[in-house]
Order: sequence, then C-alpha cells, then structure tokens
Amino acid sequence: MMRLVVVLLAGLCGAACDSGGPVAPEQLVVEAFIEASPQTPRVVVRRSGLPDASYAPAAALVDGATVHARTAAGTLTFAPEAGGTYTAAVGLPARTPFKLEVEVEGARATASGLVPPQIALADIAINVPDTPVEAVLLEGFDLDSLGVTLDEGFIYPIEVTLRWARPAGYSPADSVYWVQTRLAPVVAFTSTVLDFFLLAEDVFNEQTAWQPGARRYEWTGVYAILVETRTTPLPVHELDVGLLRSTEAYARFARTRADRDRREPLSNVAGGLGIVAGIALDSTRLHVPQRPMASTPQTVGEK
Amino acid sequence: MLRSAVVWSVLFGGLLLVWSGTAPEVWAQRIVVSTEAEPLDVGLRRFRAETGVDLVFAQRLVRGKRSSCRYEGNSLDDALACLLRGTGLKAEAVRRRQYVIVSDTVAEPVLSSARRGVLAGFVTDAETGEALPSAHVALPAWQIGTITNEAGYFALPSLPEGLHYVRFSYLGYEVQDTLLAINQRSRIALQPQAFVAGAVTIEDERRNRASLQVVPGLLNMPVQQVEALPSFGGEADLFHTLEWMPGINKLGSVNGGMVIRGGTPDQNLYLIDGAPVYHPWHAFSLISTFQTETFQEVKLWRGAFPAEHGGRLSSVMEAQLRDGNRDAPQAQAALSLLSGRFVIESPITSNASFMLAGRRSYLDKLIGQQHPVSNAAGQRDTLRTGYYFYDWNAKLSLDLTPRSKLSFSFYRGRDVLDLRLPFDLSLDFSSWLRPADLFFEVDQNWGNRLYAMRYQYLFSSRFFVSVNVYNSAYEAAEGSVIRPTSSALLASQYRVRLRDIGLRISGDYVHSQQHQLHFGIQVAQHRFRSSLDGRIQRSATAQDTLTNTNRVEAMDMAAYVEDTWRPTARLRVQPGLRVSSFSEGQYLYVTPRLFAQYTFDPVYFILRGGFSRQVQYLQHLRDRYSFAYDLVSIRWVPASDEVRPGRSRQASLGAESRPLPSLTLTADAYWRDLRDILLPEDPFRVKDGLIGPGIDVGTLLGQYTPGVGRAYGVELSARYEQGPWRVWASYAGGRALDRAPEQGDETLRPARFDVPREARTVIARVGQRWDVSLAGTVRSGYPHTVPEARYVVQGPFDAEPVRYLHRPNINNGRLPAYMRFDVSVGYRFGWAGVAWEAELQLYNILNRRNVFDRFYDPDQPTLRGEDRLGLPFLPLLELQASL
Repeated sequence: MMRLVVVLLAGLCGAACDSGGPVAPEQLVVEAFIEASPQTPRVVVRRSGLPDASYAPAAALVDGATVHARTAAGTLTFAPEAGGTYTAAVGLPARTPFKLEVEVEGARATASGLVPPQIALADIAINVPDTPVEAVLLEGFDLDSLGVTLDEGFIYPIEVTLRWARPAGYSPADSVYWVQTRLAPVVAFTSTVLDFFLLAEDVFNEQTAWQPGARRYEWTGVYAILVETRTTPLPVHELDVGLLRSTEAYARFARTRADRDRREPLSNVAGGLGIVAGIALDSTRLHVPQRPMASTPQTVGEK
Repeated sequence: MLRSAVVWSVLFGGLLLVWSGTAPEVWAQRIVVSTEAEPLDVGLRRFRAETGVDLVFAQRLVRGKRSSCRYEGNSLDDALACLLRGTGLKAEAVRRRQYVIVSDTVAEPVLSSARRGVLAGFVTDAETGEALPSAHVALPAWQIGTITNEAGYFALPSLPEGLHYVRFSYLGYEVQDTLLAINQRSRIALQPQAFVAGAVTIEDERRNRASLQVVPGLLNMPVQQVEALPSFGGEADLFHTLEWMPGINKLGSVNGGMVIRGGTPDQNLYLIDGAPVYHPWHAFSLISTFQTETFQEVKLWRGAFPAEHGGRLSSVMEAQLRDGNRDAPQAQAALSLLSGRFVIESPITSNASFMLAGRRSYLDKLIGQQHPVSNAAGQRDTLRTGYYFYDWNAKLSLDLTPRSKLSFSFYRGRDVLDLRLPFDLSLDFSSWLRPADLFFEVDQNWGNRLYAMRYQYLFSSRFFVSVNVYNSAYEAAEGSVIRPTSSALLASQYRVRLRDIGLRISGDYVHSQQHQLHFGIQVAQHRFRSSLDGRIQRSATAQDTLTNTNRVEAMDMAAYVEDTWRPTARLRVQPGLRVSSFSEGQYLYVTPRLFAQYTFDPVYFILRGGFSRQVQYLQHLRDRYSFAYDLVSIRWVPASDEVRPGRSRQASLGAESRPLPSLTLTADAYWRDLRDILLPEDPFRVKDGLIGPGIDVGTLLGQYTPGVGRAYGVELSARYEQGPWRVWASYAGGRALDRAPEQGDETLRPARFDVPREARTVIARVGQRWDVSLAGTVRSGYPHTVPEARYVVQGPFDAEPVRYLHRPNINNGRLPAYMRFDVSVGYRFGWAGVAWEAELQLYNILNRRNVFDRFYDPDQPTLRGEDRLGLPFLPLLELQASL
C-alpha cells in the first residue's frame, strides 16, 4: 500500500521530477590521425564550448597538455607546439597498437588505435560520358511551406575507378581495416536529389572491395560537373582523389559526420570528444582535360 | 501546473473519502390511499398514476388479489405497505421512485435449503435485436450481479426457485427492471438511451452504473459516445476520439500510432471479432481503419488485461462488429472531406441478419488518377496522381438454434498510392501535367484482410463455449522508380506480408455464485514474407544492386484460465493464469494476473487493483537506413534465438465514485517495468541512403539493442452528465523511461513518448437538433535531445575544422508543450423523408502550430532550434443521411 502511495505521488509530481535541462560540460576534444613512420604523429587538443556562446576554433585550442602514446615497445612523448598542437619526435611502425593519453588541468582523455600499413593508389580510371545529361538540380525542401527550390540543368556524371594493392606483408590480421574514398572536384555543386545518386565519397570494409581476379582492391565512384547546355563540352577541372585506410572506429566516425543538424560523429575518445585513429593516406590532384564531344570514353588519368 | 494537479487530486481524494451514506428520501407531495376490496392491480396502477412512482410487478402475482387500505401521509413505504397488506406481497425499493412488488415468501435473499436453479438469459438491443456484450445484470435483493459475455449471455446460479427482481443496465441504454424466473432462458431487450435535451439522470441510476469490471484501467465506450466527440477528417474516428481520454496520445501531430501510457505503438494489440489487425491505419496513419458505426462494442484495456488476452505489453483494443439489425432494414450514408461511406443492415430471416459497410476516399475521383499529356514537340506521357483508401466490413449472423449461433466476419481495407510526376512540382497543380524526362514514380499499397468465423454454443445454462477461427493478413508493397538524370535511375520493389491463421476456443463455466470460470486455448500460425529487389544506376555503367528475401514461420500457442471469485458481497477477485509458447526460440512463459475489486459502496467508492505479467513475441522494427522503401519499411519481427520476447510487469490501482447523480470520478495509478524491449542502437541515426543494408531480420536487428523500461503514473478523470450537457475532464501525470544496458546506459532516461503531464477536457451539449462540443488538450511536449556543447574536428580530408554539436544525453530536453482545441457543431434535420446530420469540425481553433520536431544548425553563432510544425486551423465537414 505504501508503494502505491509513493507511485501515486510520483505520478502526480509528473514533470516536476523531470530533468532540469541540459548541462554544458566543457570537455577535451582530441584529434589525432597517426600515420606509420617515417611520418611523425601529431595531436591537436581543443576544448568544447557552451552551445549558447560564440565558439572560435582557434580560441578553443588547449596548450599545456601532457600527451603520451603507449605501445608494447614503450611510451612516446609528444612535445607541444604552438596552438594546441603536439608532435612526437619519432613515428610508430605500421600495425602497432597504441593508446593515446591526454591530460590537462586534471582532465584526462584516452583512446586506443592501430596504425595501419601504408596505402597507395595504383591507378585511377576516369570515364566521362560523351554528352552531358539532363538533371534535376533540387536544392532542398521546405516542408512547412511546401516550397521546392528546383531547377533543371545538365551534368556530366563522371565515373572514377580507384585501384590499390594489398599492403606489403599482408596477413589475415590486415582484414580488419576499413577504407574511405573521396572524389572532390575543385569546382563542386550540390543537389539534394542528385547527391543520393552520385557516389563521391564512401566508407567500407576494405575486404568488400577485393577483386580476386585482378588481385587488388577496386572501387568506383561517381561525381558530377555542372554545365550550361546540352552541347557544352566537359570543362577543364581539377579533381582531388583521396584514399584512406584505418580502423572501424574511424569508419564509424567518418560515416556519422553527415547530418550535422541532427547528430555528431561517433567518438572513440574516453573522457573527451573527437577521434584518435591510425590512418594510412594517399591522395592526388588530377587534371581532367576538356575533351571534344562524342569522343570515346577512356582513361584520362593514371597515377 | 503541479500546484493545480495537487489541488485537483486533493479535491478528488476528498470527494472519494468524504461522501458516504445516502440521503434520506423525502416525498414532498401528500399521499392519500383509499381502497375497499379493490382489485390489487387496479390499486397499484392508480397509485402509480397519482404518485408518479414506478411500480414493477408481475401480473400473475397480483391477479385475484384485493386491497383494502386507508392511508394519508408522506411516506411511500408506509403507503405501499398499506396497499399490500394481507396480499402476501411486499414492496421493495430498488431505487428512488421505483419499487418492485414481490412475494413475501419466495426468493428471500437467504440461503436456505429451497430448490435452486440458474437465472439465465440473453440481453439484446431493443431496436436492432443484436446481442449486448458487457451489459450489467444485478439482483439487488441478493447483492449479486454479473456481466454478459460476448454473446450477451448471462447466468447466475444457485438461486431459489421463484421470481427474482433483476436490473439490467448498459452504458448508452435505458436501465430496465424486470422479474425473471429461474431455469428459464429469458431474452431481455434494452432500449437505447436517447441523447436528447432535457433528459434527466435519475439519482439512484448511478447505483446501476457501478461497474462490475474487475480489471482496472478498462475503457468501455459506447459507439454513440465515440460519434459525439470531435475527431479529425470530419467523420467520427475511434482513435482520434480516444485521444481525449487520459494517458492516450498519438505519435505525431495528427497521424501515427497510439501511444498508451508511454508505450510504443507496436505494444498495442488490435482485435476485430477476436482476430488481430496489424496495421489499423489509413492515409499514412491519419485515420483508423475502424469504421465506427460498424461496431457493437469497443473495449480498451490499458496496461493490464485479463488472461484471455496477451501478446502485447501496453494495451489491447477489442472491437466487436455488429450483427446487423434483426428487426428492420436500415441504411446510413455519409460524406466527409476524406471519404464517403455507408452502412446497410437488415434481417434475412427471423434468425439471421447481416451488416455491410463500405468506405472509400474520393480525392482521386476529383483530381483524376491518370493524366495523358503531350507537349508542343509531340512528346507524350501519362502522369498519375492516384491515392485512395477503402474499407469493407461485413458480418453475417445466424441463430442456428436457441442454443447456438454462427457468425462470419469479413474486413478488407487497403490504401493505394500511385504517382508518376515530374520533379519540379509547384503549388500550381496544372503545371504538373506535362511530359517529363526526369520524374519519380511511387506505387504503394498496403492493407489488411480478415476472415473470421465464430460459433457459440450454450451447452447448458452454466456452460457456454465460443470457437473462433480466423485468417488475418497484412500486406504492403512499395515500388519506386526515380530518374533524376537521363543516366541515373533508382528502381526498387519492396514487399512485406504477414499472415496469421488462428484458432481460439474459449469457455465460460458458471460454477456457483462465488466462482465463474473463463478458460480457453489459442493457437496461431504466423507467416512472415518479405522481399527487396533494388537497383541504383548511378551513371552509364556504375550500378549497385541489392536483392533480399526473407521467410519465417512461427507457432504461437496459449492456454489460459481465469476465475471471477466473489468471496463476499463486496469483494470480487479475478485470479488468472496464461501459459504461452512461441516456436521460434522455443520460449515458454507463464504469466499470472490477479485483479480485485472491493465495493465500499456501489455509488460512492469502488476500489480496483491488480498485478499482471505480459509477454510480447512480435516486435515492430523499422529500417533506419533506406529512403527507397521508407513508407513500408516497418516490419514485424518474431522472437527468436537472437531476439528475446519483450516482457512486462504491471501493478495498478483504480478507484471509482459517483458522488453526485451526474458526476463520475475515477482515478487510476499504475507502475510497469519492461524488459527486452528493442531500442534503436543509434538513436541519432537518420536515413541517408537510397538502399540500406537490406531487409534481412539480422540486418534489422543489428540496428536495435535490448533495453529495459519503466513507466508509472496516475490518471484522474471527472465526468459530468446532466441533461444535454456532458463535461469530461482529466489529468494524467506519469513517466515513461528506458535505457539500453548493453550500450552502457546506467540510468533511465525519458523514453521517446514520455509525457509527464497532460490535461484534457471535453464540453458537449447534445440537443434535439444541435450538438456542440469543445475539446481541448494540453500536455508536455515529447522528449527531445538538446545539444549541450559545441566543438570542432578537422578530418584528414577537411580543409577547415568542421563544427559539431555535442549531445551526450538522449532526450535531455523537451519540445514545447502541445496544446490544441477543437470544436464540433452538428445539426440534424429532415429532408425528403431522410434524416440528415451535418457536422462541422474545426480542428485547432487557436491555430497554434505545435512543434513536433526540432533541428539545430551547428554553424549558427548561438544555438537556436529550427522547428517543424504541426497542422494549422482546419475546418472539416461531414454530411450524413439515415434511412
């Protein structure tokens, strides 16, 4: 009976027992992308800010932190540089597991990672269609007013195939890695609808890209170049191509970076925010030349 | 708000506790009786005519008897005693201004050794002849009573031979008092109560309304009341009407499933004539598939339900289709903004009747479904703008013998959306209709189909059996073709089908006045089928495909027994046990229930309480990745080795009081905990792809994690009905909390539909021609996750640091309070020999744009939410004709 009375009072209390509102913890934000030696590791430490106050990234940098990376072979100490940046004098070998520790003014953030073996783009094949295609250039919906901002235009949907080899000294332990690919034309445009059909960036388990026949990894993406008319030739442009190998923690971070108005990227930092991951990165900028209409698709760039 | 809640509850508690005892009856007018060897029936009739007192008597009791009496005074009891002196009869007051004349020597409420028998019969509607389930049957002299079963049958055993004064009552019907003999199967016809101005509630009638239902939290609504309350879309809709009841909300602004006491919509079970309906919604969950006029009775058990029902954690709604008018053909037709509908019912023979109802939306008939178009260049195309929904309800009912009845029920409801439109739509509809190279096509259809057969047989006056066989299916399909460029294409086809074949056998055995047993077995085979065939052509040669099929079958079996035990005149106890098993995962659960009702006073204070356990073997999961099959991506997933059934325990306590003739007060408190419910593994996950990882059950389950939950609260309501006025007011306070232990959640957080406080009111005036009602609701907003900090991270490919908002605590905030007031105005008139009723419904008369979602832009200098708003003020109209 007493319990029921308690339940009754608790129910009547209702919202008065509700949470009093968001708190604003100030947290360490650790950003570290550690590549295998001979690259030297670099860590950036910042603080988070209050949501209602202005927040300048430069002002959020934290100096005076103690940063260590612990491995089976010993401890790597990071020296402070200007502006919340800390670097180590030597690098970590590929396939080295590590634990990064950051301490400042009693706050401590830690994260674990694994340095992946190096990655290198073996070749890049670009396939440009003969003519541009008609496309909807929908920029967004405003559901409250039923308004649609929309235009129709012409695009060249350009396929790019990236190929890369297995790391040297490959073993089954290397099957844990994930890959992020990126095609970024220097002059880009966005369209809400088209972005679903293009594939300018992807994050996937590396093993799913393995081509047994060719004995290499392969991924094909699509980006688009906007043109004015149906007869406009493909304009000369620059294309940044990136290929990154890392662990599942980085893949989760990379996959959850979109929809910033809804969510934040998943962090692997205990006691703080941000991302700490071993990465292997290769990137290049391609010059995609103008080509006459109705020419035969061909590989225009190769690394 | 809290202060008002406390004041409210103190007042309510005071009313419950303070009112006790009955007011002495004073007969204002002077009574004069003067008879000399006058036939008793003549004397009684004159007495009735002169005093206005209602006297109930059997003719055979008074036949041949004479009365000699002289009385002058103001005591009814004394006057009647005088009138009956020397006749061997006496008058028993059954309520104010009503007496029943009974024998002095027969049917005394004393357990003697006289021969005993069973008082039994069927209760029906006097106008239609249909059975009335859940009607109350009371013997005031014996202080016993019972409730009719689904066939309208009742039995009260162990009564001495002779005539018994019996009172029948049912919400929405006139109370009827009569004399019945034992061992004769009687048929009692109750007259529907006219909702007219000037109707007076007789004070002691509230005594008859004292519910014999033992389970706390039961809502039993007559269809007339559903029709009298504001709804949406211009026509009466059961689910919208339930929104005015405490503890019941809708998922969205006007659409979405029902949220009962903070539970999720998939935790509600919907039954039509004993068969489950898996998706009882039309028009993207805007209105229900339940066509109100087709139902005889609707019951909603909130949280706790009797042993007969199981398989869900939150509620059970049981609706029974009408048998059809047994006396005369009847037809009704109506047209609202959303749909047109009709109901036809008629007797076939003296022992058979049918009911047929249909409803269809007509928007597609106004704007057309297919539009052949061409342009100046000679290009031709056929655009499509079709959307419609329809329902068919039918029931055929046959009385095979006086002891047996057979009925067939059919329900078919379907929504069909068929669109082919160019991308560049504007509000100018005429601009849509032109040939387009870039277009989208959506072909969706979903619906339920139900066949049910029920056979009821009265083996003896004590033993009643009902057998139900049903086939219930839910099907949904979505085909999409999207061509945003001449070289890109999405083509996907998604199908899902769930089919149940079930058998339910239930029995009622009236062992004694102390024990009435209800028991049965239920067997259901569930068959789940789903398939996905998707293809994305990104450019001339880049293409992704995804093909999945999934088939699961499972057997769900249950047996139950429940005793309604009446150890004393005031106490009713209902212990029950349900044993259920599920073949997938080989689960076996024993879920006991115990409910009790103690009647301190049938008018002033009835207390109910109970404890129950529930188990749910099917859970509703939504794919959280893909846009391609967004509208039909919710699937029922059965328990298995990988996913345990959801379980709950609930304790509840309820009180009911009628302190004034027109006022009913109720209070319910509940506490519930839940285990193995499925919560989103990533609550922030948003759909961001055309085709997700697929539809395999494992893939869906990977998006969820086991969780635990807790809900508790109180619901207070007051109901005032006086003459043409009806006023309902309610307050509900409570919490619904959950957490995911496998994700490290250590403390409970507000669940998605946690509503700490809500207040509702309905004020209605029902007149001869005009009906007016105002209904309002004010409640806490749904929980919402508010960012608590901001930060930047610069990824390996980023040129600049990117801003993010930190959201460490899920549901740490709340959307603004929800407030809405609706007005409904109805006018009845006759024209061309037809009874018409026009109804204007004004939705959201304050034009308050309630917030149902909020976003935050991390790049704003200071945090400011961008709101997604609900519907503005809408006028809606319906016209109804009855033949």
